[in-house]
Amino acid sequence: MNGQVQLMTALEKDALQEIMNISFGQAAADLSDVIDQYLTLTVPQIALLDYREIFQFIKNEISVGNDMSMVKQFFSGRFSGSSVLILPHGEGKKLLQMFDEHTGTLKDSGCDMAVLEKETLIEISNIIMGACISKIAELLGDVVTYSPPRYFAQDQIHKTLEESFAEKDSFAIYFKTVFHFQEFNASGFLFLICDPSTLEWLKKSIEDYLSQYT
Amino acid sequence: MAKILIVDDSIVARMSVKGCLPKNQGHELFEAGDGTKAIEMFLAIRPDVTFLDLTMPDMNGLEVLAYLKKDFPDAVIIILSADIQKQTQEKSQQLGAFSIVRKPPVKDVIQAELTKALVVAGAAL
Repeated sequence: MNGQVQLMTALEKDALQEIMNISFGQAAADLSDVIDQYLTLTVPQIALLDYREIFQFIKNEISVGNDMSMVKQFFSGRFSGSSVLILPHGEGKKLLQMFDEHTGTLKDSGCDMAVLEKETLIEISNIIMGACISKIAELLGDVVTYSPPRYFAQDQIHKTLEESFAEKDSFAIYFKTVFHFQEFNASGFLFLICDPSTLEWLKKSIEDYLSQYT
Repeated sequence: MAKILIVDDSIVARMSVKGCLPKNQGHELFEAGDGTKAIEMFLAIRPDVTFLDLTMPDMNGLEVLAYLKKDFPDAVIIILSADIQKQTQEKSQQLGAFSIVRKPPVKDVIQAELTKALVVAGAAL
């Protein structure tokens, strides 16, 4: 990745990647229980980036079309930042289908399908982001609180991402994983963007985490 | 004294497992950072016990497990993974894993599994 900032050692980055791996595993297990689907996860990628490059990175990672859904949520504690879950190409509809097959309650609810898709995405995003971030915080000895998740669709997404990461002269810790629902051939992206103020605490917490194994 | 192979793409994960293993039993430790190297090393050293991660780039742990158990049905392989989905555990069992341990590794759990695995491998102290 170009534009990376060298503020962590290779060992610290590897430790953080392993912590993310454990946390995403927890998130996958929680979601798999809810929708009764097997998920595969990629090895998480981590980079320290200039804040303004985050938008470009996300844009490069996903196919940008008109049919995208995004849920964004802030978390705060000593580990703080924002999480963004993006499902390209209308995969929110597939998730709604999966969720409904498991719960069997949505189709007969009389609700508008667009509203149901939005609510399903928010709920599923909440499960993934909550499990993942809570596990990271737990492994690093912190407790975080969350803002309510916010849903964005189609043309709102670009504007929101661009505005979110427009802060100048700063950097962000960028985490990415791709999760794939095997039986439905649906994929999504989870990005966590941490505040720079988190870095010192993060480095110390990683040191503490590693010390239990030495 | 036993030969123990630790397979994980993360150096920190391998360090973590090593940190959990007993220091006073003279075990020989070997490491592999990906699935292909894991198979090469397995063939070269024939470990008594293997700790195997699942989520790895290129050849993942389930593929490594399937490959090794096909040619070495007696291989004693402990899965150590962050993927704690029921289906993953079932797949690992079907492929012949000795046991499945969730990450992060905890010393008591790792040592208890190792003790059981060494008995099965016929390499107990």
